[in-house]
Amino acid sequence: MKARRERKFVLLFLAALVALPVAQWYADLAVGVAPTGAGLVRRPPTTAHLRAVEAEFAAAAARNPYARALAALPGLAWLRGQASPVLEGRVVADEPWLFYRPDVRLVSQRPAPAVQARAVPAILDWHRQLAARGVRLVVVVAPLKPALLTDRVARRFTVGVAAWRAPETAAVLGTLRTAGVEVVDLPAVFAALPAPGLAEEPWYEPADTHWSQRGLHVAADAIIDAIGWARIPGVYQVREEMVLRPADLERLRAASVVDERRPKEACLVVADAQGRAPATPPAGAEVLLLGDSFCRIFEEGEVTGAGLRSQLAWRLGRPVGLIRQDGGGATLVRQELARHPERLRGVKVLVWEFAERDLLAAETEWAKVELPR
Amino acid sequence: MVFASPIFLGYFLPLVLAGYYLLPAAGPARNRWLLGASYVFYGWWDPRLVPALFVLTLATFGLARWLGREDLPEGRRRLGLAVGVGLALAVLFVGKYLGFAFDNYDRLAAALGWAPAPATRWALPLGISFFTFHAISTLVDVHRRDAKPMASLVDFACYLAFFPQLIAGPILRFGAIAPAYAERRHSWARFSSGLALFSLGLAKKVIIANTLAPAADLAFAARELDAPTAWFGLVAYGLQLYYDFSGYSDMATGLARLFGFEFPRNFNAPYLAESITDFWRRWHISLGGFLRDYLYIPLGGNRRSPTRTALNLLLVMVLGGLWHGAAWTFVAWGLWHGTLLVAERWLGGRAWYEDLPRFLRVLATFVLVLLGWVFFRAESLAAAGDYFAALVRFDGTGGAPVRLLGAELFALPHVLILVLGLALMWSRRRAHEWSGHLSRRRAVLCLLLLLLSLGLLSTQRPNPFLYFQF
Repeated sequence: MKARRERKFVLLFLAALVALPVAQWYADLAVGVAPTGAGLVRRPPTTAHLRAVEAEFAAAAARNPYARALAALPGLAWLRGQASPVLEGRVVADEPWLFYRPDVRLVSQRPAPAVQARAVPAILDWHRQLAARGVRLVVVVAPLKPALLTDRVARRFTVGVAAWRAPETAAVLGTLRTAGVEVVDLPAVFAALPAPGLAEEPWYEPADTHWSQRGLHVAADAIIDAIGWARIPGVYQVREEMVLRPADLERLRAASVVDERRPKEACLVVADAQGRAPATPPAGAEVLLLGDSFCRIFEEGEVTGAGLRSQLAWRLGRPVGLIRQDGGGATLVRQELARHPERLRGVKVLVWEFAERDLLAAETEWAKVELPR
Repeated sequence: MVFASPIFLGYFLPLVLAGYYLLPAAGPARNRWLLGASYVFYGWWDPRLVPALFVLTLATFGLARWLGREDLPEGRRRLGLAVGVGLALAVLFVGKYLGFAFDNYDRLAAALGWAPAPATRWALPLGISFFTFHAISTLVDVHRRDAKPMASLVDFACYLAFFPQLIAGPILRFGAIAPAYAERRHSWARFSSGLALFSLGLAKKVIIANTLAPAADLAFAARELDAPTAWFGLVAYGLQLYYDFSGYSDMATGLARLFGFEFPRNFNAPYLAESITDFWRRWHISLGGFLRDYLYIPLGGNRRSPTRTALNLLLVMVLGGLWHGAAWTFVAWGLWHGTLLVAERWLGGRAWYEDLPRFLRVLATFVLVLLGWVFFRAESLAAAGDYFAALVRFDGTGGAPVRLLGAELFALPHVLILVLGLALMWSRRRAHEWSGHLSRRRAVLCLLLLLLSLGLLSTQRPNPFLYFQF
């Protein structure tokens, strides 16, 4: 009896293991691809090829019906359900507040020091090149959402806590200032303001990594203060519009549609005398804005004419040029300008916005970019 | 290739088992097959290291055969032993400690204005700490006439490279395991107990250790900690390390049973120890035994003066610490345990909290061991110092970094698995014996744990065993 039980146990155990490749090959056949692991016999067993085979196995596991069925077992589904928003997913959530996990970790975890060491020389070099062309550089750092709104990451935290400043950001900006670079330290600007209460409009959108209209206006005012130009009246006008725009963190959480339950935002839409959004001049604007997705928000998509470029244009009474690249505030936008140096014609002030993430995340590229002579 | 991976579980293991049992039990075929499988297993990480392992095997085999000769004068035997042990230690030093030595020399050279060391550094060859110790065990056991050298190179190569213990032990004594390479028993009972033990180890690794790993990683890489986050992270790491390594040991022992071998127990509920001396009888038993028999006793053990005994203990523990990794943090960890062991020896082999009730004795030992893990896990001595400071930071002044860390650290899965880990730690069940008596209920539980582990494994990122880095 005991021997029979042992045999049955062994057979079931081994069947549970062998089902992994069998199900995998079945799934491979079903989609018409070569059996997983075939690369092992087709290529010499070098370290690089073996790592490639491992990657092939990992990728193929996603279509293994047996592994997927096991992953959906009740206990595991529950554990993963608990874990996914908190541990595994890219979004930290305490409804309705969503945070981008890598941003949360930039606050809670020790940063990579090398990135700051790369950023400072790249910024100083850019400043030197622009100064040689008679262009003022104003560096603007868009703060990390979890640093500004630490009290919203988890419900148990006290609301109204002041924003937090990353010491590395403060150090980099201090070095830049000492070297003569004009800096708009938005993390410091926000930190100096009283934190919004629960009933007030927050500085950043609950389901987005970017600023809300309220935060955007704080940023635009601070930049205008730094530029120090008087406004030319009558060029632009503003009107209020209620807008529901897609939020990036909501989309990241696999909801592909706009959540209609979210409240609409009141946007201050800027328009010229003909009622059109301020045009982006291809060249000739006195102010050129370089930036990342913080310059896209309210400027493209569901609403136009209410983003940073338009707000600056309205406050200055002058058109503002824009070169924008999502996630490319540190280097890509400068490379784009270097490819189109004609965009610098007539420019007196170059406002360069990049995300604070770029000063803290190890993977950010901070290349020196040469402007053509 | 790691045990807790679909490639090993679904492809490698079934293939090796099928080949093994299709070959005739008599003769060398099965050992040859195991040797081939072990080299494939090792070469999977970096095929270039297989020839290096083979050269060490060849040298140790030849020396052991020579040392085993009856007619060899004692002086030559000692010389042979010194050469063999020196060779194994040289391999270990070059593979594991040369970069560390160069780094420390560079620091000194920078201060004194000397030329820097060569910039050459390489990745730690996997399993080097284990197979070099196996080579040393062979030479010492043969030299002491505790065991005869193996007659077959294939058998010896299989002993040194046997894939269940190649990467992270347990450290096997040549004299104890060598006979099994010539003859071993296979039975359904042993095979099924092996699978049962393997499933328990897999579950320890995949369900407990891997779930706690992010919590420990977050705490030890934190920008700022306060006492609650620091203690939570430390307990999570203590449990992760135990369930990871004891899980690996269970899997290794289970795999060995599948091929007819029996490995010694490597853990015996170490967190139930009532003193540090007791802890070292329960934690990584195979390493403790190796250091005792091949280092502590030859140094004189406790047969000399109390001061000499204390120095022997400290030296053994520091070297044991350094064995875990080429870093000053491991030296500090060894010193921590060495000092505690010396203190207990001076108190007559008792802990200073001996008079407390058992629960408090266990708790006190657990806390002392946890404090040692700070050195073990920290990136540097300075980081360890910061962590110790955080353990007593109860002032509630933690800022945004602590709040955001807490939001992730105290997540429900972390808390649940931590509580489960603590509860299992307190239970009196031992996987080693538990798996040896397979009732119907236990068989069902093992199958369920296997399926749960496979399911969880398919959703986890690759997470190698912690002891692979040693």
